[in-house]
Amino acid sequence: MSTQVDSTLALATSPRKGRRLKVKRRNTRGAGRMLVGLLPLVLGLALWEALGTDQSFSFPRPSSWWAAASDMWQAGELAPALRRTVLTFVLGLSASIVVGSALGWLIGASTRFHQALNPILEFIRSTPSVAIVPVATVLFGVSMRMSIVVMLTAIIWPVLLSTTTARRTITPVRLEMGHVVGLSRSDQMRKVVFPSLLPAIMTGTRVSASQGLIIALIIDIIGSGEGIGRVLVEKQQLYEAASVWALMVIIGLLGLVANGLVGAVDSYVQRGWRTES
Amino acid sequence: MAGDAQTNDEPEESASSPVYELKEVAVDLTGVLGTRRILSDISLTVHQREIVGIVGRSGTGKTTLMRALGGLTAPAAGELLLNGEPISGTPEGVVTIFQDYGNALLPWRTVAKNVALPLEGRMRRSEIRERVDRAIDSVQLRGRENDYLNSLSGGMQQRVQIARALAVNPAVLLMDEPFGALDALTKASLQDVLLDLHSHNDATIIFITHDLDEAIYLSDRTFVISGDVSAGDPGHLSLELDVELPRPRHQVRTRESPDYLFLRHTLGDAIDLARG
Repeated sequence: MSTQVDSTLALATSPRKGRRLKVKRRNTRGAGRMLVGLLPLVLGLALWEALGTDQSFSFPRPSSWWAAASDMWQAGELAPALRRTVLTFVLGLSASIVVGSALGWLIGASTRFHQALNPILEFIRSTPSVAIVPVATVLFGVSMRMSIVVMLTAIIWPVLLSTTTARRTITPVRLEMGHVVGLSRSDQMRKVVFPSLLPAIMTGTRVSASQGLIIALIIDIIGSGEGIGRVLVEKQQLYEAASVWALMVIIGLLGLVANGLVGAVDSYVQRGWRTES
Repeated sequence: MAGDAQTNDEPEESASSPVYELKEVAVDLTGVLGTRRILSDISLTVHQREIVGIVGRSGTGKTTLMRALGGLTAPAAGELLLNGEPISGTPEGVVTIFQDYGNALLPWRTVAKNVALPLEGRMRRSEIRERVDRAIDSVQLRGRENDYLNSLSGGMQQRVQIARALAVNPAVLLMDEPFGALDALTKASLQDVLLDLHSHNDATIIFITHDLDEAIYLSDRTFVISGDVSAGDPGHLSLELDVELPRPRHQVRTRESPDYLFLRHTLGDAIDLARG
């Protein structure tokens, strides 16, 4: 009798356990595959290190990049530039997420609003965000606060547009359900509408984030005259090839970390209920 | 009057008191093509604890009638009374169960959290848990409380929606083709879940369906709604049928009784089933 109960209990819990185990296994396998994927890169760099010279104008050896980076760090060039760029990026992206999702929600909720604004939105959607920066810089200037406004005008669109679409496409049944079960207006917003928009906000954020780093660098170069983008262009103009390579790697890592963080937040938000696609 | 109030608590008395009274109700809807009359001259009375089925073809205004009963659409003419009062807004104690369970439930909430949605902030947490447990038990979903909906079958998800409706102890359940999206076997088992729930519950149930057998099997009374809204013929009730089949009903035996077959014949003629 008791063994039977035990076995049904085990049956009831085993699928979940099994699923969790499988996920873990997939993760370790994924990590292994990633290491294998890195192999050509490592081999290439090793060859480069073995065969290259430090005097090359185009291809200085990877070890010289590290030296160049620590020189820049010691000279106090790197840290403030990095801080400036990261700050522009983080604040600009945060502002875009908040303002973009709020505006997208409003525009998507009203057919009339959406019809009125749609041509403008379509125009801006098709304009590369890089092209918006010079105009925004002319409009808003180059201070830190203004850099954020420039970021906002350039990268708000993916978040705004995907939130607008998501709000427009919430099925009427879902909203009516809220009325039918007697949710208050604020509960309806908080518990039904906002979570419905969240996946779209996260998708928009991924796109905005990858554009954001480009825009932050462009602002450094043509706008503020500070930041890591500025340092990169200066070093290139001075033919300090090792520094240029070093800065490229640093910026690449920055992008990797930013995308990783946004991706992690996205997975966390949709944990458990993400619809497989 | 005072005598009325005293006898109100007695079962026989409350069983016959009208929940819904519709007198020559008409409903208009405004769409891209302008305002159209969807329903006209709907008169019906629904009593407490009754199960009333409304059966009709597509485009006869079934869903619109349900929306009017649920307070989601206001009538353009006539009188629509709930417990003797005109309906304004979505009335307390009336819960709609939608056919589209996928969108009527919230995928980011677990089964238990979905059921708790209408209760949150209205009572103590312990009471919520108690009610949610009871509702989940009554639709036989114990053990799946902490699962997300994407791991549940369609039938189970529809049970979650029924549990959520039951959790608020509704006086009226409105069901808009509740089992229309489910396969025949799942449908049959959910019909029995519903009838079983109703046998120890005071709720009045009004459901719409395009399935004659479902209408007869579940209901105490069945109405046929006819018309062709798109051709300018608003939906109207063309037949009222008392379904005096014994309860509890049985998926096999009830459906082979002569009374059942007679009702089905009558209903089939009324809905012009042979037309195809």
